[in-house]
Amino acid sequence: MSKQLIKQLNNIKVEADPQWKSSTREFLLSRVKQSQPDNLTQKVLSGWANLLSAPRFAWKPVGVFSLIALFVFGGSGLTIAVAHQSNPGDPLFAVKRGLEEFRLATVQDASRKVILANGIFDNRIRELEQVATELATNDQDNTVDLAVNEVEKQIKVVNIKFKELKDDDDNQEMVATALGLNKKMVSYRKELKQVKTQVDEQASTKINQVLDEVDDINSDVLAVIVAKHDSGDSAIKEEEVVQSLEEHINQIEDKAEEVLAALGSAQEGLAQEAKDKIEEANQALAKGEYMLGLTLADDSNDILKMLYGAVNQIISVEEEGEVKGEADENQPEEAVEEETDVIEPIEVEEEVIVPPVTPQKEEKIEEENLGNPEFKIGIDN
Amino acid sequence: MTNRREKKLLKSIQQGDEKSFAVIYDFYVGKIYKFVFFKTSSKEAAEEIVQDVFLKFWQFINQDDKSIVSISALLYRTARNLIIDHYRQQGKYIETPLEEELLQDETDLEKEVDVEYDIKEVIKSLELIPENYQDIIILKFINQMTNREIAEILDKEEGNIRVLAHRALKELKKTIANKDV
Repeated sequence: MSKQLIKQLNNIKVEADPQWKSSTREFLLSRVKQSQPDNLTQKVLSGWANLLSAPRFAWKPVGVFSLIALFVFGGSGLTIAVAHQSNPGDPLFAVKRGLEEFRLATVQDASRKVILANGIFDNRIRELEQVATELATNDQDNTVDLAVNEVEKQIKVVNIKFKELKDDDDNQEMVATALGLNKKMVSYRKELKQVKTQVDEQASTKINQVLDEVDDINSDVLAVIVAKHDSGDSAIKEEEVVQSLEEHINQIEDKAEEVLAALGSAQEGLAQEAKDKIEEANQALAKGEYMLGLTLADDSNDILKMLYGAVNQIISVEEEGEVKGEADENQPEEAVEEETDVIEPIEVEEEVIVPPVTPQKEEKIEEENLGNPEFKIGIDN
Repeated sequence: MTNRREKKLLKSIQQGDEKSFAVIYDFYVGKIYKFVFFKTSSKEAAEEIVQDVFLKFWQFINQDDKSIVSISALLYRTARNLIIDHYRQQGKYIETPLEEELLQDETDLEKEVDVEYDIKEVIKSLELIPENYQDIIILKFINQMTNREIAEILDKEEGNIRVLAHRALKELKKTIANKDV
C-alpha cells in the first residue's frame, strides 16, 4: 500500500496554541463549576446558555482575563450571568461592558474583531429596544438617554474596526464579513427607525446621528463588496451586489422624500439635487456601473445629511414659536448659550454653499465649537 | 482511554465534577483541534469550533435522557456538525456521498511506486478531496484512530472503514499527482 504517504500523514504535526488551550480550559471549567443541584442554579445555567448562544462572539469570556474581570468587579459566575440581563443604568451594566471589552481586546483577527464589535452593537440595540418599550410603563426616561449614548458609542467602535479590516488586505474573511455586515446594517436601520417612534425628540435626534453612522458604515461596506466583485471575486454573486445597492439607494430615496416633505420650499434646490443624484445612481445601477451608482447615492446622502440640520431648525420653530439660535442682544449670555444648545450640528462639505452667518451668531458659534471641534454649524437666518 | 474509565468519568461529570471534565478536555482537545483545523484550514475557526464542541458536549451530557456510548464519537460528531454549519455560513458546503463498494482494485495500488511527497502538497491536496474522504484521512492517518473508533464516529460498519480508507488514500494520491502535472 502507500506506505510512504501514510507515514507522511502520520508525521503531520499540528498543535493548538497552548495559551488558547489553557484559557479555553479555564472558561469551560468555570462553566462546569456553576452546576449546582438547585433551582436557582438552573436559572443561572439557563442564563449562561443564552449568554453563550447569542451573539456567539460577544459572550465567551477568555480564560484568565475573565477571571481577572471577576476579581476586578468583585463578581462571581452568578454575577456575570445576571450582568448579561442588565441594561444601561443598571449597576451591573459596567460588568457586562467590561467583559465585552476584554473579549474584543483579546481577539486578534481583524474580521473577527468586526464581527464581535457588531455583536456588541447588537446587544446595545436590544437594550435600547427594551428600555424604549418599558418607557411606556416607566417614567425613567434617563435610561433611554443612557441606552442611546451606548448605541452611539458602539457604532463608532464598529466603524473603527471595519476601517481596520479594510486596511488588512490579506484578510481572507473580508468579503464574508462585509456581506454579513451589510445585512446587519440594513436591519439595524429598520430597528432604529422603529425605536425613534417610541422616544422623545432629543433621543430621536441622537438616533438620527446613529442612523447616519450606520449609513456611512454600510456605504463603506458596499464599497468593499463592489470593489471585490469588480475585481472578479467569485464569492460575490452579481444579484447580491445589485440587491444590496438597490436597498441602499431606496433608503436614501426614502430619506430624501422625508426631508423634502419637512422642508417644503425651503432649500428646494439642494433637495432636488439630492433627488437627481438618486436618479443618476439608479441609472448607473441599471447599466452595471456599480461603483458609480454607489458614489452617486452617497453624494445624495451627504446633501441630505446637511439638510437634516435645516429640517431640525424648522421643527424647532414649529414647536416653540421662535427661531432657536438667534442671539438676542438684550438677553443675558447664559440664556443665549442655552438656546444655541438646541441647534443640531450638521456636517458641511467644503464645496457646499452654507447660508451666511451674522457676526453675532458667528461669535457664539465659535464659543460653542471650542468644546466640540468635530462639528461645523450652518444656521439659517 | 478504556470504556470503563470513560463511563466513570462521564458519571462524575454529570455530577458536576470539574476534574473529570478537565481529564476529558486534556485528552481530546489536541485531537479534536487537529481534525477541525484540517477541515477548516483556519486557526481562528478551529479554535472557535473546538470551544463550541466541548460546550455542547457539556450541555449534552447534562440532559437526563441522554446516554452516551462513546465520548470520542460524540465529540467528533459534534465537531463534524459544527464544521458543516461553518461551511454553510461560508456558502461552501456540498454534500458528496461516498460509494461504499467492495475493494476491487487493491492490487493496482500495490504495483505503484511508493514515493515521498512534498508535505505541503499533501496538505493542500487534502483540502481538495471530497469531505468524507478528508474525514477518513484525518481520523485514520493523521489522528491515528482505529477503524472501530472511526466507524462509531461516522456511523458506518467497521469493514467499510477499511475500504473507505483505501479509496480515500487513492483519491489523495491522484489529487497530488494532478497538482504536479
